[in-house]
Amino acid sequence: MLFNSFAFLLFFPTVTLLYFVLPERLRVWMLLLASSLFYMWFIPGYILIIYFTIVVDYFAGRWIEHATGPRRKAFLILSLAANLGVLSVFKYANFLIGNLNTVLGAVGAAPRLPLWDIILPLGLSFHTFQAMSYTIEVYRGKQAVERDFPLYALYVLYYPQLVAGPIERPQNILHQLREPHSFDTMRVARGFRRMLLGFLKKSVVADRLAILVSVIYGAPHRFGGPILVLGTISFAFQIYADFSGYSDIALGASEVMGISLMNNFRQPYMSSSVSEFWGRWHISLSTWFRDYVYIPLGGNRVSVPRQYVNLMLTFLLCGLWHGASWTFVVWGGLNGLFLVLERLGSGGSRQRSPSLLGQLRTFVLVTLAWIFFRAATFRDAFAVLRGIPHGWSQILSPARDVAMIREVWIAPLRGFVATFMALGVLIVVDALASRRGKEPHELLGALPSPVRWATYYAAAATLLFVGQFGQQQFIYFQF
Amino acid sequence: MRSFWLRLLAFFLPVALLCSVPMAAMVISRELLPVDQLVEVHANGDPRALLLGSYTNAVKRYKVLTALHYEPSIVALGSSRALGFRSLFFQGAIHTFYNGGQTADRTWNLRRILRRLAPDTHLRALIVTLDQWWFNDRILENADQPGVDAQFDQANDVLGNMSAGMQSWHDWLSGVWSFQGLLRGAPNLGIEARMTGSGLRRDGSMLYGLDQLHPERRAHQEQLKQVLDSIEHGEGHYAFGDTVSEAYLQEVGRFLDDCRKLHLEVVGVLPPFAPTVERALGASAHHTYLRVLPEMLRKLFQARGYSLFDYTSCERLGCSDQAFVDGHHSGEGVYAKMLYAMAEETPWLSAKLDPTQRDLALHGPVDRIVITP
Repeated sequence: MLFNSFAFLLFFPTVTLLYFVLPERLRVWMLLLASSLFYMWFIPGYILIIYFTIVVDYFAGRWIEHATGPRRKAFLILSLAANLGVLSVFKYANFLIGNLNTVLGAVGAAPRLPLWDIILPLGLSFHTFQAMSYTIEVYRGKQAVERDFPLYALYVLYYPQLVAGPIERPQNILHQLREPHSFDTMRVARGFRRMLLGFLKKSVVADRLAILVSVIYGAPHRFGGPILVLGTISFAFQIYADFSGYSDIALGASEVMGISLMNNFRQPYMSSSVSEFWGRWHISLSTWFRDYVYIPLGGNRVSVPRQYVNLMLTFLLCGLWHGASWTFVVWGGLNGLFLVLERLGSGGSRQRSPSLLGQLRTFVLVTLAWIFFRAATFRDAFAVLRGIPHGWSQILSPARDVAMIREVWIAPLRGFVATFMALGVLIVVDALASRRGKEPHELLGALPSPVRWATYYAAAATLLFVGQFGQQQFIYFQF
Repeated sequence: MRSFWLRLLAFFLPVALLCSVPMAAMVISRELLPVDQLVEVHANGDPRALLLGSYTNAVKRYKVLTALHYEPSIVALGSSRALGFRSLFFQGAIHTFYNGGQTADRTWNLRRILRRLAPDTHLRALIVTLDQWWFNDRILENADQPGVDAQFDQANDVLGNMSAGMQSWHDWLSGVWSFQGLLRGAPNLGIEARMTGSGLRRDGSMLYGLDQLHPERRAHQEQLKQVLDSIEHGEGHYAFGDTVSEAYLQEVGRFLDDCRKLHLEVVGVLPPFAPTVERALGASAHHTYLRVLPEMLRKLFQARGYSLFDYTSCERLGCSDQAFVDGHHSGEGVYAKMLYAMAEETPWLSAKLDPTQRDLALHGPVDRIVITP
C-alpha cells in the first residue's frame, strides 16, 4: 500500500481510531494485523517471507540469550544468514547471475544461466536490516530478549516504517510498542502536521520532478549541459523530497499513535561537508552501517590508511544495499571517496564550521554522485557527465529541449511553476529549520494560530490542485 | 478532546467543500465509476451511450477490459487516430471487431497492450495505426515514464482523479459545463460525453458530436490554422525532424515479432493528414523524416510477412480538408474507405467485412465526419 493512495486514506484513520478505542492488551494484535494487511496489499503471499525471518530471528534471540560461548555466535550467524539469504535470493540473485553470464560470455563459455522471474518484496532491504539490528543488539547484550512473539513481530512489521524505514533500533521502539499511549491532542496535531508536509513533499515536489527527470535521464545524450544540470539537480531534490516526504508521513503517522520513530533526515542539503551530509541523510541507514559494518571493521581505532579502506568498503556496501547494479556501487564508492578526500584534506579533523561555500561544494559533490544513482546504465551516466560542459553558450536556445520536455508533462505549465515554487519554499524552510535546530513541522507548529491555519489551508489546496497522486511509487520502494 | 474534533472539522470542511463540485460533477456523469464497472455499464446499458471523461483518463484500462469482454477476432490499435474504424462494417459487428485505439499512443505501448490482450484466445488479427510523429528521432519519449503500466492495470486512481477534477471549478465557473447539462446528457458516461455528445461508442470507435460543441472547442478552420502554425514552428506532434528513429522502429519490429509468435495477422496503417497539412509537411524543409518513413516501415512489416498501407496523403482517397475534424483526425468516411481499400489487398480482412455495408462505406461522400451515429 502506498501512503499517497486512496486506500491509505481509509486505512490510516481506521487503524488509528481502533488503536485508541481498543483496550491496551489488544492494541499490539490490532497493529500487527493491520501491518500485515498493509504489507499484503502488494503481493499477499510475500507475507510468508517476512514471517519466516520474524520466526527465525525471534527464536535466534531467545537461543542467544540462553546459549554460551561459540553457540551464541552460531545463533547470531543463523539469524544473519536467514536475513541475508532472503535478501540475496530476492534482491541480488539476478545481479549475480547477470554478472556470471557476462563473465561466461567473455570467456566464450556456454550456455548462459537464465534469470529468475522474481519480484522484489516490498521493503525487503529495510525490514531485514531492522531484524538483524535486533539479534545483533541481543548478542552484544545491549538489548533484552523480547519474549512476546506478537510484540517482536510488530517490531519488524510495524506499518509506518515497514517498507521504507526509518530502520529502527530495538532500544528505541520495542518499549514504545509495549507501553500504553493515551490520546494527546497536541501530539496528534504534531503528527498530522508532519504528515501534511510529507504529502506536500511527495506529491507536489517529488512526483512532478520525477516526470522531468525521467525524460532527461531517459535519453541524456540528446540534451545539452543546461538541461542535464537541470535534470540532475531536479533529481537531487526529487529523491530528497520523495524519501524525506515518505519519512515524514511515516513519523507523523506513528507519532499520532504516540510512538516516536527516529528522525531520518535533518536538512541534508544544508551540510557543509560530505561527512556532515551523511549525518543528516538517511540517518537510520548511515548509523546502521556505522554501527554494524564500519565499527566492527575497526572504525577509527585502526591505522588511518585502514580507516580509509573501511570507509570505502562500508560505502561500497551501502551502494549495493540501494540497488543490485554496479551504478549504485559506484555511487556508494564516490561518496566514500569524497569522505576519504575530505579527511585527507582536513588532516583528520571532521569538524567544519557551516559556510555557504561548504554547502555549495557539498551539494555539488553529492549531486555528481547522484548521477550514477539515477542513470540506468554507466553509458547514460557518462553521457550526462560528458554532456554537462557543453551547450552553455546557447543557454536560452535549448528552447527546443525545453519545449520537448514541456510536451511530455501531463500537467499544464502551471504545474511546472508550482513545483519549483514549492521546491523554493522547501529549501527556505529547510534552511530556517537547520539554522534553528528544529524540524520544519515544529516551525509550522510554532507559528501564530491564524498564520498556521492559513498555511494548513494553502497546503491542502496545493495538494488538491497541484499534487500528483496514485501512480508514483516512492523511490525507495524499489529497495 | 472536543476542541480537537472541532479543529479537525475546521480543517476538513473547507477541503470537503473544495472537493464538492468536482465530486458532484464526476459522480453525476459517472466519471468516477471504477473502470470494471464502467465496462459493464457501457456494455450492458443504453447502446447509444458514449463514453468520454473530462478529468479522468481510464481509457487504456477500459479498452483492455472491454476488448477482453467482447472477445473480438480483430482489434484496432493505435492512438486517437485509430478511432475511426467501426464495427459497423464487420460481419458480427462488435464480436468480430473492437477499436482499441487511444491505448497504444506511443511505440512501446503497442507491446504493453498486446501483452494484456494476449490471453484472449479469440484474437486473430490487428489493424495497427502508426502515427508518423512516433518515429521522429527528435521527439524524446521515455519508455520508462513512471506510471504508464499503472494506467493499464490500476483499477482506479481515486486521488489522481480528484486532483485532476479540481480543474472542474474553473470549467464550471466559466460555463464549460453545467449541472443541467450533465443531467440532460444521460445516458452518456463522462462529463465531456454528456456536454458535447462526443465520445467512444461501445465498439471503441469515436463519435465526434459536432452539433454539440462546448464553448471551449474551436472551429475546424481555426484548428487547421493551429496545426499549420505548429508545422511552421516545429511544435508538438509537428516538431522538426530529419531522421527516423531507429529505436522506435526497432520497438515496432519487436511488437511485430510478438504478433508473429502469437500467430496474429497484422495490417499496418499510416493514417492521413488533411490535404493542406500534408502539403505543408511536404513543402517543409524541417520534416524530412516523413519522406523516408513509409518505405522504412514497409520493409519492417514485409520482413515479417505483413502489409503496411500508407494513407499519409488523403488525396489518394479523394478527400478534402472537410473530411477532417482537425489537421490529423479524419472522419468516418475516410476510415471506411481505407478499410475497404485495404481489404482488397488483404484476404483475411476482406473475409471479415460486411459486404452489405460496402455501399454505405464507399458510395457516400468521403468527407463525412459521421456516417451514422
